[in-house]
Formats: sequence, C-alpha cells, structure tokens
Amino acid sequence: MNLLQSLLNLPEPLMGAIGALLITLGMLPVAAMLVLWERIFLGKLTQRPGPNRVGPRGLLQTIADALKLLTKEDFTPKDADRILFFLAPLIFIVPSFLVFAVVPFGHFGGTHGPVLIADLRTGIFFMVAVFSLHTVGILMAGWASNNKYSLLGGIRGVAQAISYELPLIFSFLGILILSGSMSTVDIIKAQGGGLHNWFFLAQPVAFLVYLACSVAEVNRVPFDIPEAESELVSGFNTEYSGMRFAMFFLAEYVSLFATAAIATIVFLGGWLAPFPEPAVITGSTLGYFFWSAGWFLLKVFTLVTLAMWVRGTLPRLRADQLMDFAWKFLVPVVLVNLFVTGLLALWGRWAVAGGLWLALLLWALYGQSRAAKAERRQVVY
Amino acid sequence: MPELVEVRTEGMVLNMGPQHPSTHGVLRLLLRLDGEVIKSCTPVIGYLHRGMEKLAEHRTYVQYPAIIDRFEYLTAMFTGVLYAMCAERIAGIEVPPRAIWMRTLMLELNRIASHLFWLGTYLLDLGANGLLFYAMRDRELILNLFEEVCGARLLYSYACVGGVRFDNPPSFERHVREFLKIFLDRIRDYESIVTENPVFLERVQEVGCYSPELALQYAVSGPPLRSTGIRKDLRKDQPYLAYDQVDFAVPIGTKGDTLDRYLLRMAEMRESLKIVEQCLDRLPDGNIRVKLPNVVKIPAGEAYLALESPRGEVGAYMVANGTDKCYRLKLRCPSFNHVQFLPVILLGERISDVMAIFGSLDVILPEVDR
Amino acid sequence: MDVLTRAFQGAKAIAEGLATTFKHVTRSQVTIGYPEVRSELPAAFRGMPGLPPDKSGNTTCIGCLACARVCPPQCIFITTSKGEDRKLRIDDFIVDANLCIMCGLCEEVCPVTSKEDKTDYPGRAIQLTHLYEMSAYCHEDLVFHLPQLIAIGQEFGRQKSKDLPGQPRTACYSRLAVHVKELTRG
Ligand code: SF4
Ligand code: SF4
Repeated sequence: MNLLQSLLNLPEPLMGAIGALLITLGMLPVAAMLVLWERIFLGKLTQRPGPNRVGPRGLLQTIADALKLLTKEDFTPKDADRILFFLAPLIFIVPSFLVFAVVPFGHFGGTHGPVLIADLRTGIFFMVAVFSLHTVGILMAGWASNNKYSLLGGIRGVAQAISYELPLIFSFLGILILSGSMSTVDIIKAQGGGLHNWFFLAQPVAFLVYLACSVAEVNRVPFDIPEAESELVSGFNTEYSGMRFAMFFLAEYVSLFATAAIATIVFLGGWLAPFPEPAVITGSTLGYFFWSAGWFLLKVFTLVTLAMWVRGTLPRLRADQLMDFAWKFLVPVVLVNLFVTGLLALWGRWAVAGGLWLALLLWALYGQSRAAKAERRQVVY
Repeated sequence: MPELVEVRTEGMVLNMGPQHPSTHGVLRLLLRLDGEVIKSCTPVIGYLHRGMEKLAEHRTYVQYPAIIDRFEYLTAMFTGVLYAMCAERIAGIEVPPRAIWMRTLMLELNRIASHLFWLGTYLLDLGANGLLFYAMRDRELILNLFEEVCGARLLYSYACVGGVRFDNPPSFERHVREFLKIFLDRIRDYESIVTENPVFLERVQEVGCYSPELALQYAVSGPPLRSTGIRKDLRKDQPYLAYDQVDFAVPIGTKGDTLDRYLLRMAEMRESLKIVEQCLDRLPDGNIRVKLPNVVKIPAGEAYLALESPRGEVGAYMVANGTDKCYRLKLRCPSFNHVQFLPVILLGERISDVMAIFGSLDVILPEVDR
Repeated sequence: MDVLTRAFQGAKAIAEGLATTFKHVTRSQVTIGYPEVRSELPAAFRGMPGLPPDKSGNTTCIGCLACARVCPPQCIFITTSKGEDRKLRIDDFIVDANLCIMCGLCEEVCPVTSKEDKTDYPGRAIQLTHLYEMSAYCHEDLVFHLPQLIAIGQEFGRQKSKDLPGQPRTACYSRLAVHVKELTRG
C-alpha cells in the first residue's frame, strides 16, 4: 500500500487497521457472490435454473438466505461446552480473513507498489500457518457440540488437515527455490514477462498437488469428510444454527476464495497479465490498478469455478483413503518434485523441470494405459 | 515416580437414523463403533408400518390393487401386477395376451426408473451431487410415459385382476421409441462420469464383499445376489408374463462387491431397454382385461408367486376363501432380507462405508415396514 | 510406474467426467418453473374426482352408490332422498379429498355414461379431473360437497381441458377458489 501510504501519510498500524476493515467488509459481498455463483453454476451443470426467486433473476438469494439465518434461533445444545461452542465459529472464521493480509490484489504500476496490507518477508509461510488455524475451530466445534456426529467430524477434520498441510507446504517449496523469496510480491514478480514464466508451467505437479490439497483444506467435495452429509449429517457443524452456522458458512466461502487467491499468487502470476504488459497501461497508476486487479480476480474466479465444477461431478473419498492419498501419493510426489526442482535449480535450468514431468506422464500414458485398460472389471453375461 | 493410571477406552454407540440424510426412508441403525470401525450393527425397523398386509384382508380384489402401490412406491407396477397375478392364478383367470405384454413392458420401464433412482441416490450417498439430477431427469421421462398411460406418475394402480386398467393412448408407442433412442446415450453419459472415476472406484472396489454362500444363507436376491456370480433371476428361472418369449441376458458379477452391483444395474438397464423394444414390436391387439363381474370373487385356494423386481424377489402368498376379499396376504420383499443381511456385512467396515454398502443393496424402507 | 499410470488414468477419467458435466451447461434447462409454467397434462391424468354437470348444470349422478362402495379409502359419502315424484334426489355428494387416493375406481364403476348431446363432459357421472392443486389451511376445506364437486368438474373436467390446451391453470384455480369460498360461506 505504498502509494496510499504516501498519499494519506498515516502511521502504519492505522493503515493496517484500515486495511483489515476493508478486507472484512469487502469479503462479505464476495462470499455472498460466490455462494450465489456456486448455486447458479451447479444449476447450469445439471440443467436447472438455480436460484431464481428472490430479486431480479434470483440475484438477491444469498441476502435472503443470510437474513433467514440471522433471524433463526441461535440454539445451544444441552450439555454443550458453552464457551468452546461459542468460540469455535470465531476461531474458524478469523484465519480465513487473516490470510488476506498478505494477498496482493493488484498493483499501482511502476514504483508505486502492490495493493496489499503487509508485504511480509515470510508471506507464504504466514498464509499457510494462519490457514491451519481452521482446524482448531473444527475440533472445538466438534468437541463442544456434545454430538457424536460432530465429534467424528471434528476428529476427521484434524486428521485431514494434518495430512494435507504437509503436501501443501511441500508444493510451495519448489516455488520458493525458483523465486528465492517467501514474499508474495516477490513470487509474483519472479513470474513477470508473460504466460511462459508462470510457475504452474515450471511446476505442474506442484500445481496439481496444491489444487488437491487446497480443496481438502476448505473441506469441499471430494475431500469433504469432516462434514460428509450422507455419513455425518453435517459433521462438525451439525449442532450449529442461525448466526453461528452462518459464520461457518461464510468462512467456508472466504477460505475458498483465499485458497484460490494463494494458487493465483504462487502459480498463476498473481496480478500479471498472461502477456507482456503494454507501457500505456503500466504507466497510468489508476489504470494499472484496475487492469491488474481485474486479472487477479479473473484468475481467482476461474479456480473457484473449477472447485465448484469438481463438486458437481465427483463423489467423496473415504476418510482412510483420504489419508492414504495424502501420505502415500501426494507426499512422495511432492518430495520427488522438490528433489527434481532442486537439482535443476542447481544447474540453472529450472524451466526444464516442467517439461521433464510432462514427458514422464506422457510416457506413463503411452506405455501402460493399454495394459491397464484390460483390467477394467465388467459384468459377465 | 508418578502413579500409573489405567486409561480405559470404550466403544461409542452411534444412532444412525431414523432422521438421517441418507437412510433411504426411516431406517435406524444402532452402530457400536470403535473409532470409525463398526463393531456391531442392529437395524431397527418399523417406523413406516402401515398395515399393508392386514389391509388386504379388508379390501376387495378390486380395491386393493390401488392400495398395494404404496407397498413399494418406486416399483409400484411390480406389486400391483403381483397381486393381480396371484388372484388370477387362484381363480384360473386367463389374461388376454395384450395385457400380458403390456404388463411386461411396464415392468421393464419401471425397472429402469427404479435403477435410475438408485443410481442418483447412491452417488449422492457417496457425495456426488450432479448425477442425481441427471438420473432424475431421465427417470422423469419414464414417469411421463406412465402418466400418459395411466394418469399417475408414482402410484399407478395399473394392473387389476384380469388384465390392466388402462389402454395405451395412440401416442404412447412413438414416445417410448423416442425414449429408447435417447436413453442409450444417457447411460453412456452416466458411465463416463462414474464408471472409471478413480474416486468412485476407490469407494466401491472391494467394499462390502460377501460370498455367494453367505448371500444365499440370508436369502439375498436380485442384483445383490447376482453380483456374487450366482445367475438367479426369476424372469429366466420361472418365467412369468411374456418373459419366456423375449430375448434378454442376465448379467452376473464376479466379486460380489459394491462395484459389481453398480455395473450389474447399469447392464440390467441396457437389458431392460432390449425387452421394452421387443415388447413394443410384438404388442398384440385385443382386449386389455377380461370381463369380470362387478364384485370379483376368487374361489378358495392359495398361491405363492414371485416376481423379479429391481431389488430382488418380491413375492406374495395369497389365501383366498371364496369371498371378494382375500383371507390372508403375505408379502415377501427383498429389502427385508437385505436389511437383515446388513449386520453381517457391515462388521468391521468403516462408518463412511455404511452408506456405500447399504446404498448398494438398494433397500427401500416402506417395503421393509409395509 | 504403476502408481504413475494409475494417477494418469485417474486424471483422465476425472477429466472425462468433468467434460460430460460441462457438456450439460450448454444444454437447455429441463426444469419447468412450476407456478408460472405448467406442464401439459396427458388426457388420462388422474386428479381430484369431480362431478361434471350436464347442460342444465345438474349432476348426472343417479345415486346408485357404486362409487361409494368401491372407493378403497371410503371417502365418498352420498345422501339421497326420494322426492315427491318418487325419483331419487342427490341431497349431498361428499368426496373427502383428505382421503382420496385418486385411484379412479369410482369413475370405473359408475354406471352412468352421458353422451355429448346431454353434457359437455361425455363420460361417467363422476370423473377424475385435472385438478391437482388442493392445498388448504384446514382439513374441513378439503371436504368437497356437491356444488363444489360440480364446480370442479366444470372447471377441470377432462373434456374441457382437451378443448382448451395450454390454458393457464392458475386462472382456473383462483376462479375455483373464489367459487368454493362462496359456496362454503353460503
Ligand atoms: S378416486 Fe379413488 S379414492 Fe378417490 S374418490 Fe374415487 S374411488 Fe375414492
Ligand atoms: S357417481 Fe356414478 S357411481 Fe357414484 S353414485 Fe353417482 S351414478 Fe352411482
């Protein structure tokens, strides 16, 4: 917020507070929009109209839902641990917003600096660390509700978070080698110059692993076992209603946005356009702000839509298979990826890493797919 | 030295249902858990008891076909036809050929509708949202066909003693053929989403396996039995209606796991399509029901008849005593046996698999509780 | 390599599934926006039973009670009396829509069959109409008496609906609602 800082000339803590306020207020409509978009998109996927009752073309549906949740009775189950029960949604919701402290939403162009609250030198690290706080909220909610489904959901949530944070962090390590910095701004800057420099090309495996892990982080299909509806009713938030449920709900969508934002920063070049930016745009401060923020939001939106699309298609994994997938597949894969990236970085040809991986995958397809196809089970007539 | 304290752990009792998002009606499962692993399971049934069998003793042969639809509302055609066939068997009533073929046609369409409903809800049990809507969309096409013939979408009261109550409207054949044309594509759509999906395969492969012997001991029937590799299908073994004149295959599974049951049902839908087509081609003209007196009286006698419903063997044992109401009607439903089979196959499985296994048996609760 | 192959095949299958679901985005919507848009009912549709009137507006029922006898949930109640001309008069004809299961047996057993010269609704004296919206605030409102049944038959009789395809049913229903309200008040 270099430009704003110089314009307003306020002390840093005050600027931070203003930024936090902006984020908190700004994320509410964003989350509302995501909920609406998810419902519309899922409707389109299944040939339904989606919400179409409240407001013009159903656009006010989320507002109506929010009002409904606000006016509902705030119910606390008998024998619940009241303090924890009260705290859980708060602890669940805060990290989702906190992540945005280091998310650069755009850039003011030239030397005016990026649009973000704090350019921490440990930006990525901060994100991951803060994000894992969710788990505490899940466990608290599960424990405090005095409900067996909630408890199972809470336990599953913790197990899942522990398993998936590891490959998630490891998937970043390759990037850190390439960019040489943990700061979100530096990582984006390292991807400048056009699409071919974006890290998802250099690190396709890390990108896919991150996508899988981030879906697990925000508890969505196919990794939504903490709240698996058909098994645990609603999992850790079964007993919540009214405003507190709304908090869980809100946090879930803000987190979805946050994980997509992280992916955008780390793998998709953040605010950068996929081609070298013309000087006309980089020159004007306000113009470049809208230009860069537009690209950033577009990328985030695409990733969010991808998550929704997956939700409309895939079933969910079982709890133990989820762990298997994380420990036996994702972790080794990212470790190998890290190793390869390290070696190639050492030789200064890191861009080759992506090609190498791709070649490996293609080879696997070419050589083996036919043999495996014969194994497919069929009924006997 | 600190004192050693023995920490005792105990199993958890989880009461799944009767109000649970995916118990397919109102089944209650008392699960004893060790962590997520099931140590014992006790199904509690009876929440949906409506006295179907007792009611049969107080309703005439004309009235009861309208009520028996409620016995099993996803395959209402089957129970209606079953009741009518029982009465006809005792009284020795010859049903006109057109009615026989019409019944066959409707039963097979209903089988497809039921399997579609299973497919959608089963995938929902596994956590996939989208397919439910596709399956329902296509089931709707079949329900439209039913509505066109008998005016109802769910509870048809189609069959009656001596034939069927409604004749086809002229547009019916064309509509069925249109349905046949698009439906193969739709099945391919489902398969492209589901069959090879690694997440789905993980969830169903080697899950809920049981041996053919065990299945036979518990009188499991229908696709859950055929999935173990036993080729037992009443349509072939003791052909009724026109099944001995149509050409179809009975697919069987190899392993007896949940994947086999899924594959079987998909294959059965294809076979049903074949039967429907043959029925349409060979539908004879003529009467749809024999003329019976206003008050139908069935002479004393008894009969047991069973049909191959989408869920398995659904049977009826009827004792008639010469009046216009039967003396006793006992309904045998596959779901009941499948529910009693649950404690055996759920032992040692995980709680996430309860619904994967239970769903794969395609149990429907109104049938169990009747 | 087995792991890699499986991973690749899995990814391929998932991509295929995603492609199939995405294909549906472009397809037209199948939902019918119910209260505004109504699907066309087939002629055979079995809705609420009604008593379509003859040309003079009276029921064609002769009071034989065959329908009341056959009705599986026993929801038809008919009161008749002998008039001065010693003919059977229908005093009241009640169909309790709370109980009716719309099986159509009453129509099947009814001995009266009117031809087109006598009525606009050729067929049996009691007919299953195309009325299917019968929500009410209390059970009593769903106990339909003779005038209401005639009104139902008049508005929703099958013959009529064949003449007027695609006529929005909302209008019909609100008219009926007003009609029924007046009758119940009176
Ligand atoms: S439709 Fe059936 S239930 Fe309704 S009144 Fe007629 S006979 Fe009775
Ligand atoms: S409606 Fe038909 S069956 Fe019923 S009493 Fe009147 S004439 Fe008889």
